[in-house]
Amino acid sequence: MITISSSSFTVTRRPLIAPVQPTVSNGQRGANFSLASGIEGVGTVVLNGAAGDSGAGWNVGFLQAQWIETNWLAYRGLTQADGSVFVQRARPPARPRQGCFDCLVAGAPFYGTGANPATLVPATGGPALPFVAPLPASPGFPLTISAVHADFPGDFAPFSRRNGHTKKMNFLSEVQLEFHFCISLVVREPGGQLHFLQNLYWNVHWQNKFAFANAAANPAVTVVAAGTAANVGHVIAGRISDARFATVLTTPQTTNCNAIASTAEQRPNLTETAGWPLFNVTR
Amino acid sequence: MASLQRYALAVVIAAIGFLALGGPTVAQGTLRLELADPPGGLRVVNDGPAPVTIQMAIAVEKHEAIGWVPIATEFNAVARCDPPGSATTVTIAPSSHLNVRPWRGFSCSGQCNLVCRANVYYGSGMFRFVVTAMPASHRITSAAFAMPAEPFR
Repeated sequence: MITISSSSFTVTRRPLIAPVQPTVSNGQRGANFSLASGIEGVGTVVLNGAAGDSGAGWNVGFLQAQWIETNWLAYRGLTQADGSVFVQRARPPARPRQGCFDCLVAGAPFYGTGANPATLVPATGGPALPFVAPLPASPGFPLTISAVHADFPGDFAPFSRRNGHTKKMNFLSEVQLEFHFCISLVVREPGGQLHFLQNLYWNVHWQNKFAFANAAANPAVTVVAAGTAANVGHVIAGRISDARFATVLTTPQTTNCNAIASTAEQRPNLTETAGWPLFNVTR
Repeated sequence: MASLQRYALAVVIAAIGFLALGGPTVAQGTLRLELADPPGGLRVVNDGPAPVTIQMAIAVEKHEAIGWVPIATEFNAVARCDPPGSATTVTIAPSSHLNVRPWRGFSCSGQCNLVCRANVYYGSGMFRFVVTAMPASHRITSAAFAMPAEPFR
């Protein structure tokens, strides 16, 4: 019988917020919110077993949940008469729920997938590691096996949008983005049973103000320091018990955070008004 | 050892293509895949007298110890990041080419998309593009190319 002897999770690269850059995405000029450095970590598990135990169907890999999303964009006309638009991407119906399973391919049991066996050389060097590491069919014990995790989340905000109320073009004035994640190093048995071993909370925040001198030029961008950060917590051993998102990790999910974010971007909640009122960004 | 030999062969083929044509090139029929700068750049060249239709989605493969493996990414036969349409194929006119907007090395934000939560940079290593010509679904692979260890800023 295969058993887990020990495990560890080491952060090999910390996330770092990049300056907001003007760019073009899907035909629209806008602001690219990205990272200068993504998060990266290496998980290692030591397994024991008896001679003849089969490793077929056993995998070491990572799960990731996103459990907080703040995502609003405020637009203003060049004059008060042109009005303003509040774009909310993080509340229903645009985003049905906060928690989601974050993975490269929707429906996959891990953040990476066995059908995607590409490897990555960790920033700290050493051999290339897979995102999902299968056990050998006939392993020798004790068996030490490692997998890598990496993520570069980001987002996009168009510079302008037409205000349906005033029929005037409005321009991006402020954006706040907050993405909070939890990574779990797991061993998955052939039957799908998960063993949660090590967990790590981390998040990235962007908050910026934009000022347009005219419609054609790129805006002046100001960083709101209190709303801009990348944070990494301490590694926590054991089964994940955070009620805010545990079920996202412990029950099969048919969609993923990329798809949910994409839908919210395409169909956000809109408030289009005359004048320049202050919006309640919590709704 | 076999995979190392294949890897070495791919590098040699890439080098020969680069020396002969000013950029690594792989051809099949009238369609030629030419690598372009920066790394991740691709030009799909139709040297023939008839239009050629290819699938919009271009696959990317990474060279691993087990050989070439497809990776999950966003990469399409488009010259610009226009609003996504419903087309699944693109036709390249005779004696013309398509300068494909470069692949950036990421899974989710491979080319034009920037709205990503799970998003891996595949990092240093050797890659190749796979274009599928219609209607017979012929696979045309590019020469191998290296991506930088860190993403372009």
